[in-house]
This record gives sequence, structure tokens and C-alpha cells, in this order.
Amino acid sequence: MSMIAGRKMVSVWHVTNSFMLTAIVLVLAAVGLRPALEAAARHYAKTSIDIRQPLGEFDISRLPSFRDGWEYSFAGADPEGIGTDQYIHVLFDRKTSGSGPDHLELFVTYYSDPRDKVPHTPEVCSRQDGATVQEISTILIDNFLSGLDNQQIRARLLRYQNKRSAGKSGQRTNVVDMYVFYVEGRFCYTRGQARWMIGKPGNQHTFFSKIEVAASMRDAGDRAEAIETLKTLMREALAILLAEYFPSREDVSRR
Amino acid sequence: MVAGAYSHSEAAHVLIIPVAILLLAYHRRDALREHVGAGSVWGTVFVVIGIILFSFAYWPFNYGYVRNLMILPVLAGVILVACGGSVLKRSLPMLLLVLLAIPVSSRLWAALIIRPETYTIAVTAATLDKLPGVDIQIEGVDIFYSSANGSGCVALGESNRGARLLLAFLAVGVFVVFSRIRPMWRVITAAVLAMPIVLFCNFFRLLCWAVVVVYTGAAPESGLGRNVSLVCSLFASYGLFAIVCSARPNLFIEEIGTGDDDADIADGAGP
Repeated sequence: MSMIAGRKMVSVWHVTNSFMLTAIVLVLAAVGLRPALEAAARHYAKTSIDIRQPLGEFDISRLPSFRDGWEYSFAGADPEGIGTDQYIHVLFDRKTSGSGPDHLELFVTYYSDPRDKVPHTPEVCSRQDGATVQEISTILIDNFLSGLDNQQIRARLLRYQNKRSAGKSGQRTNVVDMYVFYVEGRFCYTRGQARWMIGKPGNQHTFFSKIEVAASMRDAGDRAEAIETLKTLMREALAILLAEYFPSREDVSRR
Repeated sequence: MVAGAYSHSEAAHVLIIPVAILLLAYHRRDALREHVGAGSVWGTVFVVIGIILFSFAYWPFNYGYVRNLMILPVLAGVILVACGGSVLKRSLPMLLLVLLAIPVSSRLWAALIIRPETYTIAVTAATLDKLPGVDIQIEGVDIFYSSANGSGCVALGESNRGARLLLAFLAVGVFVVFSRIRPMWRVITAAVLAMPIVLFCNFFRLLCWAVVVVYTGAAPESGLGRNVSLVCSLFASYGLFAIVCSARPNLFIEEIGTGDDDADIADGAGP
């Protein structure tokens, strides 16, 4: 090809080896890349794995720290909205007034269809429900009794104000929320990490679960106590879930 | 991308991006023509990297946004292999516009936007609260008002959807900054100020909308507030970037000499 520079025709383009190579690479990619990737995706597709026991059979009275002093009730959830019918949603109310949070919540969902999408996390959903997010950070939960490599996990920690929180006559409810994902036998605390772990090839089966605990308080000053209570609830719930409900790492990797 | 622009008004700027790219290329046609040189083998490397990353974002992972982004290394590679590094360098503004035309997936955007959006809503609410006779409350991502004219939401859900216009404000900025060939220091200044300007424009958009709704009593989902605020904020974006690009800071004070340079230097005045 040529171009005009002033009146003189100057040949500046010539077909180099790298140009030819690039053209060939692009043509090959256009023709064969997508079918090849689809074939690989079909061949290495992970399959679902059932939870060992339905989450609906979770026995709340087995949580040692919440057996006494708390009343609990099961709350519903829209299976279409949360994307699964395997869930447990429990509300705890303190029987006697005392320091710390008066209301707790435990919400566990389990997904194992390879087409399942990792759900929105509370920092996104709560805002659509009228909450104002005040803090997004992480926290270490340790002293697990069993089932973990390091006896500790990192969880996402949120703090937000519910409903009409601002303004001159606003009623405030402070919420501390803590959640983790358990994906194919490993913990993580962001959607991105969960998606990465689900995508990673190697396992025969796939599943993931979101384990969320939340505490509601009237006074933001109770935050430290709320966090400790939530850590305890998370610790005790996970000990049972790992031991009796979720498939093990060996189960998902078995071919 | 075009289908997305038709179905989501906040991505409508995508439709104008090809025109903007052509205009930028037209403005730089002489510079581009002058610097066409021998291609580089690194272009092939860019293309291969783009294809490999595209493949990983297709399988085993499934990241639609990353897949879309991979057009950039491929385009850069094609330019590099065909025209050389000098042309690629001069094509970067156009590639930047391509980047801004790629829509961020809604779930990713919802997570990314939390902090800026929370601050924007808080500042808008605080500003509105200063207006006489107006009481403001925040509920999630919505701002509610009550005044003598009535009460309601100032822009129902739009603080969230409208936050997608950040990319449109940024695209306006890129076009303004690179519509002429400017010195590097000015481009760097614009790049440093880009994010504050974009966030300010988003705040300004929400504030305009709120003021229209509060004082005209228009329904929050009506077109009046949305259109007025959108046009005002886009003009604000254009104006602010234009000011950044054209402002001439007087860093040096010119001294009036006698006209006799030797005498001035001898007097210590300097040239």
C-alpha cells in the first residue's frame, strides 16, 4: 500500500512477517476460538453436588451460646429471589434486656447448580432496601474447633443504618453484618473471589454457600459487643454446617 | 454495546463514541500520517495476549466485562503491528474512548459505585437541606424531601442508575482534552482532576434534578428533571474540562524592562 506525502508517492506499508502472523492469528481466533472454548467448557463442566442434609433441618438449639437467653423463629425467603430453595433464615430475639444487640439474624443459602450466579452481597442489597452503608471492611474469625486449615477465616464486615436514618426526625437502626462464602470447600469473602473459585478447573463438582449473620442495635456504641456476638454465632453455626451439611473438599474433587 | 445503549439511556453515550473517535482521528490525521512506520512484532504479542485473556475470561472463568475489555489489547496490537509504536502512542486517546464505551456489568458496577454514590447522595442531601423550608431524609439510595409545595422522592432510584453517567462524563473529558494536541503537563493535570470533576458532575446532576423536583413539584420519574439535570451536568462536564485545558496559570511574572537587555541583566532584572 502507499500514501501521498506531498506530491511524492512513498511506500511506507509493506507486509512484514509479524503482520502476516498477526493476520493468521486473528483469522484462526475468529474461526476456531469460540467452538474450541465451548467444547472445553462442555468437557470439563462441573456437576452439582447435593447438600448432605437439607438446611431446613438445621437444629438451632445446637448452637451452645444461643440455646438459652434467646428466642428464635424461622423467617421465610423467596426461593426465586434468592435463587435457591436450600436456605435457612433464623431470627433471634434476646429474652432479657442487657448489653449488646437485641436482635440477631442467621441466613445461610446453598447453591450447587453450575449455572447458579453468586448472589448480590448485603452491601449492595441493603442499600436497595433503604439502608445507608457506613463501613465496609473485613474481620478475622478464629478459634474454630474443626474443619479448617488455619482455624481462622476472614469475613466481610459491614456496618449500615437501616431505613430513614438521616434527617431531622429520622429513626435510626444500626446494623452490623458479617458474611462469608464457602466455595467448593474453601472460604472467601467477596463475590469476585467466589466467582474465581467456582471457575477454577480441577474439581468434579461445584457448590457454594453464603453464610451471613447480622445484629440490629438502637445504639451504634454497642458495635464491639455486636461483633463479638456475631463472631460467636458464625463460629458455632459454621462448626455444624461444615461437619454435617456442606460437602467436603474431597467430595467435590472426586472424579 | 449498541443494543445496550438503546435499552439503557445511561449508556447512550456509547452511540456517539464512534463519531468522537473518528473526529479525534481526523484532528490528528497529519500527525498519524507522518508517524506511520514499520510495524513491530510486539503488536503480535499484544494480539496473542488479548486472545489468551479473552479465552480465560470465557472458559474456565466467566467474566463478560473482561472479555469485552480484551478488544483493547487486540486493537492496540493491530495498530502496533501495522503502523508502529509512534502511531499507537497517538492513538491512545481513541483507545481510551473505546474503553469508556465498554459497559461495566451491572453487578460489578453496583459493588464499585457504593462509596462514591453514598458520598454523592450525602452531599446532595446536605446541600438540599440548606434550602429554606425544605426537609431532607435519605433512605438507602434515595433522597426524600418535604416542603410547603409537597413531599416525595427527588429522583427515585436515579442516584444509582445515573451514576453510570460517570463514564459519559469521563468520555466528554477525554474528547475535550484530546480534541487538540496539548502539552503533556496539561494532559496530566486533566487526568489528575478528571475524577473530582466527574464526581462533581454527578453531584451536580442529582442536585439539579432535586431542585427541579422540589420547586416545580414534578414527579421524580418524569422526564423534566431527568433531562434538565442530564443536559446541565453534561455541559458542566464539558465546561470544567475545557477550563482545565485552556486555563493559563501565571506562574511567572513578566517584568517590564527598559528595552536594553544588557542594562537589565546588569541591573539584575534578568531576561
